[in-house]
Amino acid sequence: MRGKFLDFWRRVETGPIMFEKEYMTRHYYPLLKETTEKYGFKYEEGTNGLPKEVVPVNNETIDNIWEAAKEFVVKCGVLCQNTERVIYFTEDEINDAMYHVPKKVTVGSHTDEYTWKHRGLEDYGVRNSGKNPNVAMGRILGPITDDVYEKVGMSFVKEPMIDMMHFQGVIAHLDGVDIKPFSPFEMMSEMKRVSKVKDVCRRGGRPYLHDGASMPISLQAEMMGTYGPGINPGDAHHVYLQPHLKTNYDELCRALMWHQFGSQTWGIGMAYIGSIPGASATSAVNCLAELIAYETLYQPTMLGVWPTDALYFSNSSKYSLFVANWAVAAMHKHTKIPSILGAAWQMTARIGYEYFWETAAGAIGSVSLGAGTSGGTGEQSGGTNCAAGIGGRFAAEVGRAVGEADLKREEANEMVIKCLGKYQKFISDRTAHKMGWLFQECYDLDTIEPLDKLNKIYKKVKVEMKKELGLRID
Amino acid sequence: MANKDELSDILRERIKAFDEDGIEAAIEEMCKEGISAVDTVAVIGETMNYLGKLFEKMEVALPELVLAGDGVKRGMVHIEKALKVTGEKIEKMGTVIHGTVQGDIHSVGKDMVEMFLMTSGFDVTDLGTDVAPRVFIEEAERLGADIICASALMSTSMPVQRDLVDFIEAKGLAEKYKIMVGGGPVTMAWAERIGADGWGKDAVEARKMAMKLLGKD
Repeated sequence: MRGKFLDFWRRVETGPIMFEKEYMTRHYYPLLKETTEKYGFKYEEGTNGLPKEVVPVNNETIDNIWEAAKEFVVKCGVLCQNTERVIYFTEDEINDAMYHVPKKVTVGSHTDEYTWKHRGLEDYGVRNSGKNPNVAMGRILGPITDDVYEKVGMSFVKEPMIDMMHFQGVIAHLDGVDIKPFSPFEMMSEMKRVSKVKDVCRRGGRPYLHDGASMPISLQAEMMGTYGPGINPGDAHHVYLQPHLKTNYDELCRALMWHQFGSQTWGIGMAYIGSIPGASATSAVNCLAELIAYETLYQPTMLGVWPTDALYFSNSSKYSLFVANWAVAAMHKHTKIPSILGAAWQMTARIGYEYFWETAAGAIGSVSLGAGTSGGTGEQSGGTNCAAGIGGRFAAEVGRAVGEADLKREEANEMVIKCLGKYQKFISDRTAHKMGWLFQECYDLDTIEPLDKLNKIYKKVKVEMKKELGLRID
Repeated sequence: MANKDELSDILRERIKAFDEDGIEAAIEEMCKEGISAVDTVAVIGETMNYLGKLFEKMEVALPELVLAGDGVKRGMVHIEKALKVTGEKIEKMGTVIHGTVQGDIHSVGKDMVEMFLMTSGFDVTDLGTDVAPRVFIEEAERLGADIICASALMSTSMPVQRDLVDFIEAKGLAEKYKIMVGGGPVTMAWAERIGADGWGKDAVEARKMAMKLLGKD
């Protein structure tokens, strides 16, 4: 079956014609709403204003959302924005693609190699291994200024619990020029970013640490970054499925390029909750449908879930975690894919008290559902210099604790609801992004160690988690 | 002949049902029946505002609002014809053109802002994505815009917002238009640095800023 995706691509040129606006208003959303209702999938809150089941517990409902998402992909297809034609798949083709997901995935190489194996729901493998039962990703997202970029990068590299990285943070200004897409300066900036990242990894003693940066840059700039000291064999590249169930020539070209290099690619199930895919229930079906379509159309080695509130950008809100967790649960229950990174990929608050609680909420849900942890970036990923290695470390520590506690989903659900109680109110009143510190306010820029004030908050959250959640994080 | 209240109710129901064709037909019918265009626009404004509130609560999805908005836009052609006959005047909240800047194809944030402005009574024209500064200016001139909104969702496309401000100044149009910028990596400091008139952190803030810029807050 490998190679089948190229057959699907021909449908970009032969599928039924549908203009993009018609696709969104008269095809995509009505089908999404109808299918979600048909399978009775709902978002429900308790009297505390928080979701009743933010970590999926009911197996029958997980099966229902899986069937809903698969049926939705079959009915809706994927729109190619360039040809304005819809790529349709049959149910058999989707089933084939799901059967042929990778059986194991190795990222990084040499001494920095990490191999993922499939974990199901509440499946923690060998306990007390001292490791997070699944991969721990550190993620630098959002703009990072040139003066601290290497220090922020090093703060992640020196964290031993971090298994893989996304070294993002586009260089916005170089040699007196603001960088613009498709300019030669954009190519130069990507060359510089790659060389800086590789240099930081070498100096940190982890030269082959996986980098899967999602670079919002042109294909030509991305290609330029691969030359010279460029990519390592254990790196991976993000190929985008445009939200919501769309693709285009540019993304297909990126996928083809990385496939011919033999490089790994990854993609995410998205949903801008409250916008095109509607509210939380329809968004969850969309997010899962995107994972299914992604794996069918591009055959990536890794997946992630990245839903976000559209009205106030948050990857860790009650809605986002609900959407992400249901998509992960269904994918892990119905396929053997080993490599999904769970929510939250970035926190809403800056580095501080709420940021740690957001990180914990994401990690508890993700690990109990078989996914890897993500952490490090705050301030909605839009703020400047708001990423630090301590966030990636904390996510990994919470993941390890979840595995060692052999946490059941009911327990995980209760814990995540308690975590949400610590910070959701600041997302609802739109003030979370102002809380906490920037990197340079909470790290010693000489030693690249967290300052005492940050360490105190970090320890305080651990103590509270033990006392209030019963989760011991040592 | 149906009376004004009955026709107004039909229009309200069709807007709430996102019935694009039905909305246009209802507006046309009200115009034909000689109902004041000012009254018809008031019904549209009040109902779209109601939908906007539901949208904020995630009880209505963006594609549904787009259908309702398109129906209203089509209906406005009949209203404008009627206005020419009756000589009535409609007070608009303001005319906005909005696009994602050149080199950037992100659209969800842009669409959200447009829905918030539209349901608050602004006349909004979507220029789409990957829009060159020249096109922003040509369309603003053509449509008599009050506000030019430029979204950038990548730090590498933000400099094109600065190009837009530079182009507008170079053409001597800086006094004519208010320029608003926004998008994930765009900050108030950036807006001030490039000389934009306003910045919105997200769709909710963008609506507040647009009203403030036109003195309607």
